[in-house]
Parts: sequence; structure tokens; C-alpha cells
Amino acid sequence: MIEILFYVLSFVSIVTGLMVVFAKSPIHSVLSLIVTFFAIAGQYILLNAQFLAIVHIIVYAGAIMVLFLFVLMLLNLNKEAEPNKDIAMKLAGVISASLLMVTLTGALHGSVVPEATLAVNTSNGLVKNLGQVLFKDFVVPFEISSLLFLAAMAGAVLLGKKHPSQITDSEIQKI
Amino acid sequence: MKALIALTILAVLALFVGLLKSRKLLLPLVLLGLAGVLALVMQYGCQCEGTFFHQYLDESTYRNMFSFDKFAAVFAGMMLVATLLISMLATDGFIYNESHRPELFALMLFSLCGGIVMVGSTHLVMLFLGIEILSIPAYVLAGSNQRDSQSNEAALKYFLMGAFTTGILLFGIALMYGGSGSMSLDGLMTYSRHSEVSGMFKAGMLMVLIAMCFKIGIAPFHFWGPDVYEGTPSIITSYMATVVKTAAIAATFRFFAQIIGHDAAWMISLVWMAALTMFIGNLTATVQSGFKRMLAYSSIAHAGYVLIAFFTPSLQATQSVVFYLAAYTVATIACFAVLIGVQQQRKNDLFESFNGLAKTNPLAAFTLTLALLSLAGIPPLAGFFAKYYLFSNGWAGYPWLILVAIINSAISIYYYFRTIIAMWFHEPTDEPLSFSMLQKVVLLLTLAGLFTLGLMPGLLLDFLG
Repeated sequence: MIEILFYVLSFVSIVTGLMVVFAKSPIHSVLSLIVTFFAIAGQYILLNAQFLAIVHIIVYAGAIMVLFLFVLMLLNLNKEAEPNKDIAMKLAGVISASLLMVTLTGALHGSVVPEATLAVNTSNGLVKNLGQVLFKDFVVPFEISSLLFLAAMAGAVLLGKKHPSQITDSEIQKI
Repeated sequence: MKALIALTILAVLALFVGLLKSRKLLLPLVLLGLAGVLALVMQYGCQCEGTFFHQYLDESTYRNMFSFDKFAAVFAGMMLVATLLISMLATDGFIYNESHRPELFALMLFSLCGGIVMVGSTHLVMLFLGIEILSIPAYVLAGSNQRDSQSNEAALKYFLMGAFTTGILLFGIALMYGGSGSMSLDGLMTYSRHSEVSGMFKAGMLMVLIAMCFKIGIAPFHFWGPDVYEGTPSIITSYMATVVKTAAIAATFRFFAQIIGHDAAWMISLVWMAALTMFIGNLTATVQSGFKRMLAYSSIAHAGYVLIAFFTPSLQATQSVVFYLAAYTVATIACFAVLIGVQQQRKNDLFESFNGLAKTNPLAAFTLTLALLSLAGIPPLAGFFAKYYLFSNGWAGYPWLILVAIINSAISIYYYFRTIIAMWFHEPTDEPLSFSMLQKVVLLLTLAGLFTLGLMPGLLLDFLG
């Protein structure tokens, strides 16, 4: 049962993932991306990571995708706005991506994956256990990531704030 | 860890100074704060005895996450000194965005925190966080001159490339974890040495290495470098060429030396990448017409030289990396100190703008000459001894690579001398440049650094053990 679910979810996520890349309209890309996220959230549930699955849906499929759609609609993309990719660039991309795929398949083919040594604990992914790990073993990275967010916020404000001299420049032009 | 907390508080304080009416407090606050953190790090570094990499107990490394050992202390000290010097230049350097000066300082300090996390990280999660804390403020700083389209372009390029690299890095970390079942340096080391290493682990290691090469700017992953360095405001470029590069090289060295440093199979491709990096960096630098772009290519070439130390992991190799990066950092900051002055008053960075600088501004010309000679590796300056240690240690591993490096050093003399000739043998075409007090102090300090490291290399080497 779980195996069948796994294959169905994997198939869906791969197909929709391909649709994200090949869809002609950006809106279709974003919509297929949402389906991909749901399929991946299903995989999380199969791995007993229920909390992660919910957070994944709320944050990615909910917040971030809505943001994507907003930006797409505001940008009003159309055929003319699409940059002209020349054939050499496409060829280079195909070659390097295929090389990476060959390397990865070669490395993963027949590689020995260690068996899970710990007994499978079905409550592993619950908030309580996640919190235990996060605030015991990973407390330093957890705290340090706050530094990352602070820095990113300060940076976003700096980029978003209007340059005072920018205002005067345009005012001078008006005069 | 104390230093990291102090530095974060300093960055937040710098943000709050932005609320005050008077901004006179800002520069003294940043300089004193950095000096204080540097004192903390130095005091700690003197306490650490013996080897660079410590195998601490669980408690002192925060559950195997972060180990502030001698290696981390030395590199953190180096980055702090570099940031201190760059902050002194910032009075003139941040002129393009006067109103956001506190934020620019704060972002630079946040980024420095990321650098310290990187050099001390002993866990892949911490390494990743460190890289992100280092890079995200750097993306913003690259685009902080919003009125300049080149700066915007640089920021976008840097950001897109960096985001893509982050994806590769994370994929690699996931594969490494999948193969070995551990993300701490300790666990990865044990895994890579004892058991049958799975292909998944190797693929992961490959992707992590690619991502790190992106960050350092090793060919063939260097393409973003020159464009980003050129478009970014010079003061930020000096930060990227010194602190960001040092942090990336140090973190790669820690992971590389300990996880795959013993495995010859990894070396083959990396040796070729080192040779390629040197040739691409040096040969492309010879055809540049701008000083800043020339420096960008030369910084790529220098990253290629540093790679030599990666192939013969030993105490001496670690020392030579530290010494080389110290010499490179001092010389690069001296170059940028002069470049900022030239760019602000001549509005470009062409070699012609340096014409006759020896007559009009002898101190700047003298410092720049010595810095360039040091980068080229002319005795008795710091760069010569740095190259000497690096090459003599590397000779045991791959003699032909050392020969390639020596040929490349000879090529580099050509383009470094273009500026020197312009300064000393061409007539001045413009009125003299004016350098502020702080800029002159930086020039004198870097000059002293070049001579001290060159004439008394023992000072630093004794400290390193």
C-alpha cells in the first residue's frame, strides 16, 4: 500500500515538475508547482514527518505560491517579454545538465545505502519530538538562523527604502 | 562564540545609530567594536596550543556544531582586521549612499558574523548557515548603489548565481547525509576513512565542492566573478575580494583537508582546476583595460595559487594558507584604498587615470606599487614569502603544478607593472588626488603590514605554531 502510494506520488511530482519547466504560460508553471509541492508533502507524510508536511503546504503551497502569482500578474509577462535564448546557450545547458545526470546516476547506481539502524518510531515527526531535536542538538544553528533573518530583513529594508537623493534628483528634473 | 555574540550586538547597535540625528558616533562605534572583538579573538587564539583543528568534547563544540579552535581564531582575526581596515575606508567609500551609512555598516558586520560561523563550523548545517549569513548581506551590499545600473546588475547576477549555488550545496549536503548518515565533520571523517564509501556520499561531496568552488571563484566556476566585482561599489568589492574569499577558502579547507584530504582520487580533477584557474585568471587579467576588472581576475588567479596547499594536507600547508591569505588581504586592501580615491575623483578606473600618481600623490603611489609588487611575489615583500612557503610545501605533491604556478606568477608581473609604469613613468594629466586622513592611515597600515609580513614572517608563523 505504502509502496503504491510512494510510486503514485513520485510519478505526480516528476510529471508536474516537468510541466513547471515546459509550460508555455508562467501561470501554468506556478499552478503545476503547487501540485508538485502537494505531492512532496505526501512523501513527507509517508516518512512520518507530519508536521513538516503541514508546514510545507502552509508555507510553500500557501504563502510563497500566492506571492509568485501576484508577482507574475503584476509583471504582466507575455511572449515579447521572453528573452531570446540562442542555440549555443541551450546546447550548453543541455550538455551540462546531462553530464550532471550521468554523474548522479553513475554514483547512485549500485551505491550501498546504509540500512536504518534505529527502530522506526512512528511519532518521530510530531511537533514534540521535532522540538526536542531542534532545541537540544540543533539549538546553535537554530539560534544562528535568527541572525540570518535579521540580516535579510535589514537588507530588504535597505533595498526597498527610497533613496532620498533619488527623490531630489527627480524633483530637480521636474523643475 | 563570545566574539560572534559581541559582533552581532555591534551590528545591531550600528543599525540603531541610524535612528539618531547625529551620525558622528557611527564610525568610532564600529571601529572600537571591531577592535574589541579582535582583542577577544586574539586573546582566545593565544590560549589555543598546538594543532589547528581541535577534537573537542561535545560540550565545548555545542554538540559538534561549532568549534572555535585555533584555525577558526586565526581566520576570524584576519577577517576582523580586514573589515577594520575597510571600515576606515568607508567614510569615503560609502559616499554613494550617504543616507544609509548605518545600514551598510550593519550589513557588513552581519556578513562578517557569517564568515566567522563558516570558519568555525564543524557541521554541514552550520556551514550552510554561515554561507547564507555571509552571502545574503553581500548580495544587498553589491546592489546598494541603487542609482547605478551596473551595481544593480552586479547584485542580480551575484544573487542569482548564489541562489543557484545554494541549491547545489543543499543537494550535495542531502546526498552526503544520505550516504553517511551524519552531517557533523567528525562523523563524516570517520565514515570517509573507515567503511566502504558509497557513491551517494561521493556525489554529494562533489556537489558541495562545486558549490564551494563557486563561492571562491575557482575556474570553471568563476564566470560571475569579474562582472560582479566590477559592478559592485569599490568599497564592497574590497570586502568581497578579501573577507568573503577568505571565509570561503578557510571553510573549504577545513572540510576538504579533513574529509577527502587523504584521498588521491579527488585530487586529480582539483589539480587541473587549480592550473586552469591560474591560467584563466592571469591571462585574462593581461588584456583588461580597467584596474578594477584586472584586480578581479587577479583575485581569481590568487585563489588558484591557494588551492596548491589543499593537495598536501599538513600543518605546514595550513600555515601557508593562512600566511598567503594574510599577505593577499593586506595587498588587496591597499590596492582598493588607492582605487577608491582614484575612482571618486577621476570617475573611472582606467590605467590612464593612474598616470603620474607618483608625482602628485607619492604616498598612494608608493603603497600601491608595493602592494602590486607583493601580489606579483617580488621579494622582500609579504607576497614573496607567502608564495615561497606555499610553493615549497606543495612541491612534494605535484611538482608540475608548482611550475605552472611559477610561470603564472611571471605572467602576473606583466599586468601588475602596467599600473606601476603608468604611475611612475607617465606625466600627470590631471590635478592631484586628495586622500582623507583615514585613507592615509589605511595606506600606512597596509604598507607596514606588507613590510612586516615580508621582512619578519616569523611573527605570524610563530603565532601559528
